[in-house]
Amino acid sequence: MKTRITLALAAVLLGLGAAGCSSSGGTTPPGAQPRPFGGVTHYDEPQRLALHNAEEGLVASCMRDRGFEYRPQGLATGDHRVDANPYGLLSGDQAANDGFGVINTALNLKQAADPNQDHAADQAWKSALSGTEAHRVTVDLPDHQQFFYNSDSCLIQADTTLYGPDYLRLYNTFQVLSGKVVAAVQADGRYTAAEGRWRDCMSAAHQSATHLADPVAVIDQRVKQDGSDPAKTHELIGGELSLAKTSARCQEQAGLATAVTQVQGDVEKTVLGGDGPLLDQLRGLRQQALSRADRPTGTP
Amino acid sequence: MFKKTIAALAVAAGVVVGAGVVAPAAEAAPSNCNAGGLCVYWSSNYSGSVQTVYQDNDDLSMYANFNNSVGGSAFNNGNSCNVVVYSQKSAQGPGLILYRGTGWTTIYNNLPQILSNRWCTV
Repeated sequence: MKTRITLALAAVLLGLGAAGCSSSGGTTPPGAQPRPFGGVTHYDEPQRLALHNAEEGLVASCMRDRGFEYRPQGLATGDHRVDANPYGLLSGDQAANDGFGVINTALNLKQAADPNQDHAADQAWKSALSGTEAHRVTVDLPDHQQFFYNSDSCLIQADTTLYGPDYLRLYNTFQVLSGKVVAAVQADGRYTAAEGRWRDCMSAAHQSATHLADPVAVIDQRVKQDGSDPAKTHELIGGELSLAKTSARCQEQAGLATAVTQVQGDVEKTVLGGDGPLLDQLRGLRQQALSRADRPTGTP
Repeated sequence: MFKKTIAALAVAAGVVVGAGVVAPAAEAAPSNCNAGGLCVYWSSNYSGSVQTVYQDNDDLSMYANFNNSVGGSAFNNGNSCNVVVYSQKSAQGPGLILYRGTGWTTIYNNLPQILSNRWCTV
């Protein structure tokens, strides 16, 4: 369960926000840090909101056509960790403005309640939304993974209208392939050497860490432990910003982003193999969906 | 894929262990996957014990199906949201979106563990 930051801490954080931290509702731009396949499976917060709202409108419209009420769900906003780099790379600007995004997320996350909870036990409603077993489609993914959907569902109808008929397969495929790329990059000697330089730099700054994820886990743990204690507020905020800035400085010094970019380029060629056209196809569907989301036709 | 046959029986906030529980399941969802939840099964094809989360979680390591997801399966039976799962705690590292109303029939090495999750962020 997520730890909720006390009001006292929130008030202080808002004060810091005025002094330069990210404001609520916005996320620190991920910048030019490398992501697998140019970030084809990543959408920033404005894109996520536009796509989600467009899709929810289409789902509601489909459900209405089938005689059911569906209340569109708002997307959770303010989760700064969603945009975190999959390798754990952090720019100096991100670190200075947002730290690792842990405390800002605890402060800004707005999670809407499920507006359709009262329909959950209605099997006819659920079948209209999620489809039926008779229309189950199983799709093979790389590395023996499989996923399935029910082709008669309003969810799939909405998804197909917004993204195109092959998007789910392609997106799931590149989720799997992106994970493979990250794992392969992190296992490559050029990356581990750079991470070693980062580790030495952290150690010289009196910070013990083995992997890039470790400092984030430290802050996360501190927030869980002390987030409700107003006496520790300043220490928590200062601690996150300080540790994040140290990590970002050491990443820069160690040449981590450069190493990731180089290794990722090599790894992607191997992982992608002959699937380049699929990547192009996914990029095209993604752009098409973003354009559609900017001019939604569905009415919630 | 070898997996232990004894499922963890711990129950805590956010996680419901459904092994042996027969719940009214909608036709749309695999058996015993309650509406509104992310259901993770011990075995492929939505068989074996099921554990379900309804909220965000930062550490699912104490739940066997999540901690040993390879060889298992998962279904997002959420009413209103997609869910992102992570193989690291506290939503770190690359997340995988499991779209609402879809499932992974078999989970392999690219998701060795499901240690945290986030609802409604994508």
